[in-house]
Amino acid sequence: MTEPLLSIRGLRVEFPKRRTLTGALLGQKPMSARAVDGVDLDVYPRETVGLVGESGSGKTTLGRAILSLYQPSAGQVLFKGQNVSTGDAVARQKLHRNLQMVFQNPYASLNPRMTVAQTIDEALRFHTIVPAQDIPAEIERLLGLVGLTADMANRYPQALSGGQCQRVGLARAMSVQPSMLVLDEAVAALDVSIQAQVLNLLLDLREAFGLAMIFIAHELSVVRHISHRVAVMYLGKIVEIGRRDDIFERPKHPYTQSLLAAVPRLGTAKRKRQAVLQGDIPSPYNIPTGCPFQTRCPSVQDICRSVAPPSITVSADHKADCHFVT
Amino acid sequence: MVAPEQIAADNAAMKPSILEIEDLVVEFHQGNKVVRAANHVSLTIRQGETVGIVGESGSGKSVLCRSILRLLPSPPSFVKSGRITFAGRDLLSLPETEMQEIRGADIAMVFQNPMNALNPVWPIGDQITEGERVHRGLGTRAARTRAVELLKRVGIPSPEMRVDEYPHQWSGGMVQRAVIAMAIAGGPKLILADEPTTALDVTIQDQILALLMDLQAATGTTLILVSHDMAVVAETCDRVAVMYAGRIMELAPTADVFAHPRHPYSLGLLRSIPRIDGKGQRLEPIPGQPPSLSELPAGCPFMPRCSFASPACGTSDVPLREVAKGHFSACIKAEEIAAVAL
Amino acid sequence: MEYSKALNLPLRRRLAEEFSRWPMTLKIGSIMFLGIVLAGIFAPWLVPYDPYTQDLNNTLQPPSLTHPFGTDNFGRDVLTRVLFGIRIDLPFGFLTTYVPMVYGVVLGAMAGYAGGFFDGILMRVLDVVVAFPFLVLIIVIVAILGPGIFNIYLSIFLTAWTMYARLARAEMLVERNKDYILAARNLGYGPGRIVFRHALPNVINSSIVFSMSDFVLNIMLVSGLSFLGLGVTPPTPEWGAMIAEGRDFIFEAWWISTLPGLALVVTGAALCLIGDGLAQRLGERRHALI
Repeated sequence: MTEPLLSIRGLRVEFPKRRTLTGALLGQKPMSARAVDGVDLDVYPRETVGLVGESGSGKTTLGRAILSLYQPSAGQVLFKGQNVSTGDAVARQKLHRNLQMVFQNPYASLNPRMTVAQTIDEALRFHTIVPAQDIPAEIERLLGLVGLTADMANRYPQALSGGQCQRVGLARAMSVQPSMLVLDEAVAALDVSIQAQVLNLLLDLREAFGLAMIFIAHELSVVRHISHRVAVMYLGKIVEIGRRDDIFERPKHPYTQSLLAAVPRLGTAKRKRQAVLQGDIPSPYNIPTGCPFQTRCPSVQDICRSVAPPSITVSADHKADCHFVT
Repeated sequence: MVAPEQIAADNAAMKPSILEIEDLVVEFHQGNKVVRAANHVSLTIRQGETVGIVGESGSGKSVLCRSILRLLPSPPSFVKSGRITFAGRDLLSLPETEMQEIRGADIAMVFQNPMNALNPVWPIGDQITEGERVHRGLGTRAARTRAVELLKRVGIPSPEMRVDEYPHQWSGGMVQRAVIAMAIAGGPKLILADEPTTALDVTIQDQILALLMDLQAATGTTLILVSHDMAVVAETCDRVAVMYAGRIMELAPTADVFAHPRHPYSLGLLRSIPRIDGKGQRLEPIPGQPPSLSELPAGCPFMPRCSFASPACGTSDVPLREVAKGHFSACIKAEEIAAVAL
Repeated sequence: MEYSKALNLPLRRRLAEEFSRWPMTLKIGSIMFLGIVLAGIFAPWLVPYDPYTQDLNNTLQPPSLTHPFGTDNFGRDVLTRVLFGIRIDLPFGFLTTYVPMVYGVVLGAMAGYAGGFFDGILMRVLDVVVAFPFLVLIIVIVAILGPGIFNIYLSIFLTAWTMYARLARAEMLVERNKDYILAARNLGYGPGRIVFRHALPNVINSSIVFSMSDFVLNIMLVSGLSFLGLGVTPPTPEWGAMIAEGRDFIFEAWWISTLPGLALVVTGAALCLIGDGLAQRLGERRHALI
């Protein structure tokens, strides 16, 4: 079996909440939000893993912790066997080159004061990807790669459409020749017709460069379209993970089942709706003991309120954290 | 045998109309540019039906919605021509004071971002009943009772306890429920919901859509649902209008549009959406970008991106016409498109 | 390469394009300010008199063709002194505004980006400086070192950076969480490059707009200090000093105080117009992003 490209072990990311002075004097315990709460995940070369969950599930935090934009409070992220948040600056810089990110907001992810060419130029120069005299040609090649024409090079982001900005963000990420992309809601802000263009582009790039991807999204249909495997997150934990078709056709965890049932479908006609889940996701400051999903679970039992569910292996590569997986 | 939805549609068609938009043109003046956000839009909404308006950003769906309530700032926006008739009254020529009455009582609006729709420094209960206190002289105590009743109706648990809380203490889904409570407080005949679930998670979206449909079934209110999400519209609406570049491209019963689109833009949209039940086959995106609304091409605005385009499309405006019973399309080749499989 | 060609668009055309986008306030303000600067530079050629030479036969002359602004109590031509005053007041305003702005913005931006300990220290220093009354500080310095323009510079340099540091820090706190900064971090760029190359151009707008009104206030300040006798010493042709000198003759010779005052007002108006216009122009650029 091949070695995983990225391997996450027991990762926890916590955000401490600042106590007020009076709170501290009154003996309030320091609180912290467990945004990522003990995640294990392997990503293999050329593989796309979809990360789904509602807001507050910790999927974005997990993505950023992989890129060491947040420091983990426990556990580690190994990329090609190397810990992303330790090691000397040179080694980490090299590592960063291999692990790039694409963001949600197409405009905010580009420096408004730099032209497209300047943005890409800087990355190429900084990492000396190509000799200086070849930079203009390389910029043109990268723009072509993401489906932009060379005359876009001198535009500022505000003169581009959302889809074009997202392509520039991709060109910037691709400029340093990464082996893995973390895409955080990369198509969520785009209109459907543009979204389809960018999704196809991602598939092409994945194919051409053998990229591994972590695709973070709340839109389940998009995740199904692009992922090989899917991890479902709830309150900082991966509650179910498996091959795409297992997750979408044979979901085992009641949360995954509810999530899928809640997605509106094009094929159905107008129907009488009965909301599948009541209430909201609990606050990460106050995660219930036992199963995190107990407060909303339609089939909750007594044991769920006291004992954290084990990870049950349903079939090869398919695991769900629930007491009642059959 | 006739399908039940067909019966429902026929029944709806016999109901009197509540809102008629005729040939509406709305322009925005930006410097020396004129942006035409709604371009000869005509739409008739019947009592009690749910009409979805779908389109991408810049398609004019929100502008259309807001011009019904005259909520667009002028300048920069101007209604160049057209009429909007609501329950027999011409909204565009009403004095502002009467318009305020209509906004408070007859037509209500639910916005996309619930957190922005409520004032953060006021208790939620006060905000929900403000309209009734102002317009109907409801007393403080009665208003509180009324607020609790409204919150109960939109499914807020233990409303007596929560009526005095502030928006930031509530989750996005709960605040959207409060916004809906505010909208139904005046007993509106028409609710305009502008992307009411876009900012919400899918399980919360599911709850809010169920709530809207429940309320509608109970009160018989007419609902206009603006959304970029075709699947949301498919599951909730009787009819759907597909907008592009300020025009209605297709208008038909929902099931018809999604099963047999008769406009290449609708067809393109449906082909470019990844399906939740799909197998990951390659998407067929619509090539190119939407046109700039200040430099619209002559003729059909979709022509530059359309794979069915012929020279005739670029010569003159393509009006919406009835191509099958109750099915309108603004395409000269609508019959040809109907034969194309999705 | 196609894109490098486009980069070399003639400078003249790019400037013309930029100018065409300026709001009217910015255009008018800039033209007024340019006129004032030119008048200061060419002062010796614009007027035939010397700002220091006294002419005791011609004291307190009202405005006339030979002396358009009249003469003062020593018979010096007021117009000449007003024009030469530009050479004192404008550079003063410029230096006292932009020198502190440079290190104020840099400190504030660095503190905002770094956060934590460095930020805490800077904020405490800021609090101390802001809490200390400026006039008391300047009187202390002048008392120790004696009056003179250099000491005023010193005291302003010690205090004026605080506003810029605050502004830059506040904007940086917003900016540092934006995706493009995260993208830069993720490309392995160091904090120096991120702060100075990526963030700074985006956090400096509010400081630039503020600097225009600060410029006016600083000119007012030196005039005020000179008026109080703490600033430049007579017979230097400084506007505030001139207003102070004319105070004794305000009833028989209004022009000695009023006309330098008018020059002050016109300069202030020009700068305010520029500030207003810049806010609009820079804001427009920002709005274009949404």
